[in-house]
Amino acid sequence: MNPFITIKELKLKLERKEISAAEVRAFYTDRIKKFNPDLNAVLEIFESNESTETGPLAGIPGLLKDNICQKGHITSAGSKILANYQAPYSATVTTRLQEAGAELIGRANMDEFAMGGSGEFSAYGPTKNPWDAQYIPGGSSSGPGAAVAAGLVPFAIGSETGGSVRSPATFCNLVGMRPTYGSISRFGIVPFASSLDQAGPLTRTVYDNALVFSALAGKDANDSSTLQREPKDYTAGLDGKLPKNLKIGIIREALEAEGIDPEVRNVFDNAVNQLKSMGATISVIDIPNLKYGIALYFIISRAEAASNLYRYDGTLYGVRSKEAKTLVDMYLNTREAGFGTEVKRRILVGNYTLSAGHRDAYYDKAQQIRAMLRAEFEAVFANVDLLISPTCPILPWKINALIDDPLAMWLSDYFLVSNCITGTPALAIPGGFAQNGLPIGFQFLGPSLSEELLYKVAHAFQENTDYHTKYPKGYE
Amino acid sequence: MATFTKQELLHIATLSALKLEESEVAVFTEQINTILTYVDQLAPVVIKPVDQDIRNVNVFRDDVAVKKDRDAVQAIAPEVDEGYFVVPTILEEK
Repeated sequence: MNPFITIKELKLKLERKEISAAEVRAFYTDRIKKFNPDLNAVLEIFESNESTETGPLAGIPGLLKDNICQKGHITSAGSKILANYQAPYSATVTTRLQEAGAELIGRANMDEFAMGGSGEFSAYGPTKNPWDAQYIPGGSSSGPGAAVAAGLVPFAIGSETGGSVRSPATFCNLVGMRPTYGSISRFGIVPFASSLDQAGPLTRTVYDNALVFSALAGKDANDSSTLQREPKDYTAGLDGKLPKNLKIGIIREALEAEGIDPEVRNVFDNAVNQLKSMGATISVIDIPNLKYGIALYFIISRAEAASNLYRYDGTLYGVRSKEAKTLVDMYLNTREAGFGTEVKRRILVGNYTLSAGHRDAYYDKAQQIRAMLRAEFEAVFANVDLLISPTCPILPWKINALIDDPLAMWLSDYFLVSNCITGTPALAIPGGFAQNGLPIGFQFLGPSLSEELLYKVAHAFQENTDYHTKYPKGYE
Repeated sequence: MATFTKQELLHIATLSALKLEESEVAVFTEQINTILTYVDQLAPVVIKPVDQDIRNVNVFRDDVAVKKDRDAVQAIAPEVDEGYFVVPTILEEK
């Protein structure tokens, strides 16, 4: 079987009984065993399956990022502090996929607590990019990205706080959806920054992505921040055509940002021209406060992370340091032994911006500018249907190249964080390749609840291009 | 504007229940200074009132008692004794 088969094609094979679900599962499990030692994308393979045998994803294997609880299995969030945390319940993402028939075959590596954009910050070692193992695969959903790209699984679920699905999608030549905040339940997903966190699928095609998203989206009684979205088949409108009179905006501030790699710019320009030739009207629009996106993201995400991560103290679950005579010692030693450097740094920044004397200047001010940015996005979408931008301003970098320069690494999230702050959706798709052979992507951004339109436009783009049909060498 | 000092770092570390190695103190002080200098670009931004179209509504669940499985939760705890979570001494003897 072709390991890079799409879910759409695999579904047909299963329905025609050309192959059984057990054979499919064994096929991908064997591939993980063969290729994972080089990639470190998968942390554990599960032998048993708890899914129903019918449903829109019946027999389709998938991997979940290691911060999504799968009952009875370890959910470590890429951290030593949760190394022994055996989830006593399943996330809503997990149960919805199981109800849709998907075979959940393991858990995928990630940057510790989803903090990182490169896959280098897992306590279980860095994940490699299948396109070139010297390079980062993007993160924090590094394992989900590398695994789908290498054909170890047809889909994986990642999570985003500030671009963590779209980053590996871009660096691994995949499709990654960051849906409207509240589309997918956060119940059972290890929290990082609660006002930003959203799960999203990673797949090889837009159609497959829409199919998986259809199983995930919707109201959940266990997460009061979920939106009242009726269950819907998001593949229904994918006819390979752009909607009539589609208006797409290019953000002027994004194009004029410093530090865009010429090869990224080239891919972006080609995508714009392609869409023009397909009938879209392109205009340049302004979002003046976009330039503050990274600064807003730094403050809001670190502050919420510092609060969320206070719970890891060794009392109720997780790894407790044995070297403690008093309760306070237990807290300190547990956190010292359990957290990596990046996590500590973020907790410190977060608590500083929340601390007495600084909260007004940092956290409260950031929330006020966040409201202004949200209003600017809303105003823009009164004039255009979608926006288009690069996903990452630079190419994937070599493992360890930016490890001592956290600011430079975080600035690579320039195009990823703004819509997370505004809560609006974005879909990253493949757009071409650099001279060194590594993939380059771009993204569409839409107003709240525009997932159907995003999928329709991106699917039409894929029907007219072949970037998404390319696979890394050596994984046939 | 940002001058984040070693003393501030140590204070925040205490508030964060984090111990820092001597080697981390100098590195974190410098790195956090860089980060705070970067986010200081927000300081001069003039806040304009935004006419926010708030569509959020309160979400309530039915006020009913739900039985949870205590054993399943305690099965993954570091130390339990007859239904209680066990921790080290809370107050030190003088």
